Amino acid sequence: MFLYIENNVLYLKGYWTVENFKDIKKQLTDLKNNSFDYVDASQLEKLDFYGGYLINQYLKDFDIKNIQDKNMEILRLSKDIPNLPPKKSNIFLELIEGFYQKLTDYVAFVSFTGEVLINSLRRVKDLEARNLFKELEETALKSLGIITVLSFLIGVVIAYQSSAMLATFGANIFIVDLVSISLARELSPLIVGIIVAGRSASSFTAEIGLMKVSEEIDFLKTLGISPYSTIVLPKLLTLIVWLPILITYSTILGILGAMIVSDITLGIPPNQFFQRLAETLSFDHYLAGVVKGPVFGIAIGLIGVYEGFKVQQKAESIGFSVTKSVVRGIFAIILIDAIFSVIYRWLDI
Amino acid sequence: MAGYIIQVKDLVSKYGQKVVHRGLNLGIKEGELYAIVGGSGAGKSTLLKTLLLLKKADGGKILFKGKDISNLSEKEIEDIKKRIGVMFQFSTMLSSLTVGQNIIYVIKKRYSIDYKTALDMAKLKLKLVGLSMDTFYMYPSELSGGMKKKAALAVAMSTDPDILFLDEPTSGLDPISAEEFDKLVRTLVDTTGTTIVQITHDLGSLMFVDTVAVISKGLVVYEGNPQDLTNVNDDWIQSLTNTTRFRRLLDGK
Repeated sequence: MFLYIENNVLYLKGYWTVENFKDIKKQLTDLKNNSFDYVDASQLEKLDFYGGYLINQYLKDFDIKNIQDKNMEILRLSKDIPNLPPKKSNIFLELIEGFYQKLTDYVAFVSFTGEVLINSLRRVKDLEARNLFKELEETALKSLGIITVLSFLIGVVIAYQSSAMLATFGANIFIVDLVSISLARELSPLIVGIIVAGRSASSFTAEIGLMKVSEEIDFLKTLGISPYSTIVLPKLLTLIVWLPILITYSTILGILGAMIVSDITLGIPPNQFFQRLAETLSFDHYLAGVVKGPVFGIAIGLIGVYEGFKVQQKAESIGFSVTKSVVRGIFAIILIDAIFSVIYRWLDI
Repeated sequence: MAGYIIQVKDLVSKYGQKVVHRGLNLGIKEGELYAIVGGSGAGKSTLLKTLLLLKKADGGKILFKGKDISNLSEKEIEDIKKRIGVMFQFSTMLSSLTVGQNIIYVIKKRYSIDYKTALDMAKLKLKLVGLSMDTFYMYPSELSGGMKKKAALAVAMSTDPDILFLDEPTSGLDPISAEEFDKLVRTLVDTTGTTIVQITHDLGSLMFVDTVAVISKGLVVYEGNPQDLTNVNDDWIQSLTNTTRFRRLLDGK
């Protein structure tokens, strides 16, 4: 019981605190049909903001008598609830603002690319061999495992899925054409690009973001060392050189997977598979796929690094930037691949 | 006379073989502003963790409003935790929520109070710590250091805790913002009657507190008025009070 009426006076008693909020509120609601002249708070032992809020909401029209000074202060503090400013919610303006932000972001990215290229080439002496080896290990060698498994499995899946259809038409041997050309030209570059975008772009962003938060970037600049040459250039060079190698490796493993499936499901022995492969897979096809590597590498590297440099001096922004760099990296890979397809079509490659 | 809200009796804390507290004693009275100071590695953070019931004591007793917490059921411990507020050193709030949403979230999660009341409380708490209502819509990452401290204080006070712990509340603030924050804390103690305990390195903050406890070598070597620190015969306190910064603060220069 937190209140009672006696001789036309409403007595408040006990602890009017957050723990009892619901009970007190219920008793105040039930009070509606009762009448009283004033409120006596002499038995009120403790009042907090929640109790004060209820008194101000339900009993504001009555005199509160015999209230202790400390409780009076709480009652005063919990009285005037300020209004929130109107929330900006103009969808049209938000869309324009969003579009403008995206546009400025792309312009900033292009400008950043120019800055990186110019600074890196000017200060190429800052490039250190140990950074290159570190990147080689982190970016290239550590992604070998997942690329091995995925490439082999994709070769197996394509061959397995196609074999039934090809067998229906008696076109078993064309499995070699299907698998080798699709892997060499499209699938291997795409798989490698997406895996590296997921692994490396995110790690670049996190690494540089953390360096920015801990002021390592500023530290390098004050020493007169270009962060672009020491941090960015090794990453870009590693990706440019290593991606074509990974694409080649992925193509070989995919074909290997397809060869095993072809032998089992279509009865094409490996020697016949290789014979057909030599006739089908020209150097042009291989080149058409492998040439995408350096372009993908530059895109992944620049996006990862750009998002890292965009991190503000707050640790929370690293998470947002890492997510952005992965999404943008994968988007860029698919977009560039589509552009390559159009160009190859025009050039009839 | 106000009773003790927390009493620590012969507290022993260990990390493996390493003994952090060797029979530490202190008493925090209801409605006072209390500071715990000590050199690096003195065991302040371990004491805070123990008082927040995040770490179990390896010996001794902790009494919350006279009740020994080691004898309480899990439900009673949870109820005590609800009555404790904390502001961590880095003004921790949920980064995915705005300041207003942070306050509402805490109120609703702790006491399942209706949204309208929680919203009004959020506005009152922002007003209480001197933040504008625009802050309600801002994310923690959008706030300056001083604003973030105040916002975290508003979140910590959202459910009117009986006792509020502030871990290094003025760290990272410029002297003007730090003093402003110290004054705000003093005002909150005086107006709301909340017991506030500060773990601090900031000598300036000591000038605003009612009681200071100095921890050294795993024990409380002094507990009392900060003005009387100079008269205490202890090596660490002597080193502290002989610093130019402390002397100047004491002389008001």
